Amino acid sequence: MNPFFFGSSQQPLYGVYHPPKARVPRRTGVVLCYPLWQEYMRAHRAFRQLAMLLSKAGFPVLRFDYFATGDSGGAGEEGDVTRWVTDIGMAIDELKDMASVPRVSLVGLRVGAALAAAAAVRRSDLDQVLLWDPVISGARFVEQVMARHGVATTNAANGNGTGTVGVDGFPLTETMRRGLQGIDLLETSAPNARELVVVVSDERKDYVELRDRLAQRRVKARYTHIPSAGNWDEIDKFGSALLPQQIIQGIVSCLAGEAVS
Amino acid sequence: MREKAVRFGTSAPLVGVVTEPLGQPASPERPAVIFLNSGILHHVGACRLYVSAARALAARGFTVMRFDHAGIGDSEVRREAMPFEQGAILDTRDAMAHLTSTKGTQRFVLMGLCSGADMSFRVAGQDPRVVGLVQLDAWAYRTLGYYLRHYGKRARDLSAWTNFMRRKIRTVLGGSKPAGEERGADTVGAEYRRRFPPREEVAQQLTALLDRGVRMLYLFSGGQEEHFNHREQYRASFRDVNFRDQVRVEHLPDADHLFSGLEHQRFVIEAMTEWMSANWSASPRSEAPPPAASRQLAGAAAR
Repeated sequence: MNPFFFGSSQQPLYGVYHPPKARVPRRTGVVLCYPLWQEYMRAHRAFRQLAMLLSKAGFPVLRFDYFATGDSGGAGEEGDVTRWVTDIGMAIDELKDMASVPRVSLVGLRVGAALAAAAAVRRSDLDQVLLWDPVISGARFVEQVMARHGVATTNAANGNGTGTVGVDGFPLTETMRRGLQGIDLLETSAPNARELVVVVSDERKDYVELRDRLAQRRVKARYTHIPSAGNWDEIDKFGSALLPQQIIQGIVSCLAGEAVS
Repeated sequence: MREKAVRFGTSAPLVGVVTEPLGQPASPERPAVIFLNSGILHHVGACRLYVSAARALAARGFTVMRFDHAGIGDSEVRREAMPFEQGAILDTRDAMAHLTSTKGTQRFVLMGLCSGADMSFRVAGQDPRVVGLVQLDAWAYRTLGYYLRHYGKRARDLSAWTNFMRRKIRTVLGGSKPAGEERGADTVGAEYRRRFPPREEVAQQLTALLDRGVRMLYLFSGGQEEHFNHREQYRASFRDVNFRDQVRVEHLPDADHLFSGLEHQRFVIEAMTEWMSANWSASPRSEAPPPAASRQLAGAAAR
């Protein structure tokens, strides 16, 4: 694991590079796209595990923090969806340069999946785009996260009078909210990639709807259900992590071109 | 302020981020601050608190490191088997050694939340280079004042009685745990059980640390209400310890254990930076907030 900062020196992004550990490295790298806020905290260990398994399978892997999240530059209030999608593009370029690979696959979890899908529309160097328990409707996601905290659009107790509210311990600004509310995977253009893969831990209604809509729109996609824990939005007193081994292993198999058991 | 990702460690390859004041480096005479993991939360800290606090401290002229103990976050697993608490002390010493060799720093302030606070206290007891501690939700011991407030509040709270009776009835009937208490095998860390050492042991070490001149800032949240419920409790629980003017205690009864309220995070950061500056006279710098990290791979073999 090699941690480093990349991107502009004024707004650096923190990444951890996992070099390929197989005897014959693969020609495709993998960029991992985290979810947001407490889901990011909860998924960090799972991403580390996924990165290590992919690295063992011969993939060069980069997991990184979007601007204004994790260790990356920027205060929490400075993040926004457009910037995060651009960050994924920067991470792809960084990994291609670092590992000397011509193509990259994206794996995104929850909001990270929606951001990866958006980033993939603009690229021409992507192999697979794998959406893991994706947030399909950003508007619904925002509604749920705000309802969970009992916050209205303005909250004097937790906000600063500028429309920023605290959700899960992180600031949600007007700009972020508008950007997130614009996410709609049912309508997003098909990623410009060899294959779109949707991996879900539970056959929820909205996941099935996404599967059907992709088929209806004749988007070439593979939909895989791997029963495992998917309660990414659960928060407890100590900040526990979710490590769903089966689905992590399934994702490695998907990317490695193996049959998913 | 500038940040750099670093790799260091003797018994395990550890990963951290060093935050420094922009321009002139911090004086080696001034202690560096090291943040310790809270449970399995990686080095950004609960709700990214460690990142925000590190940047605020660097803006006041301090060098700060946040890092992951072996096996946590971005740090690799230790090569040889060792109990976590023993290994975590070695990791923290490695972090100090790294800052000494790269920045010349000889004195350190350790900061941590929950198990991070516990670890900071243990390391301070063993290492004279530690001159300050910032402990969030540290070990606390109930006093008469605690019980009076606790039961007084419950006696006035009808729902507490109702819940108490429900629990009793469930125990008598041998019913199952209520929903939410069962967790899947895929969840890591929720089963964490914190062990508080005997009060006398902590009192003894407190005395030793205070005699050594160690300064301490304690911040307690309402999330630790089962152990702590008013600001004066800390001193009252250690009446045999002479605190002199070396200890400051703050209580945020409305904060949860992860300090997830934005206003609570602001309070913690302000309290910490003010306390550090007051004790180690760092001159406030009029530095613009945006960071300038070096585009730098940590470790020669990175590319």
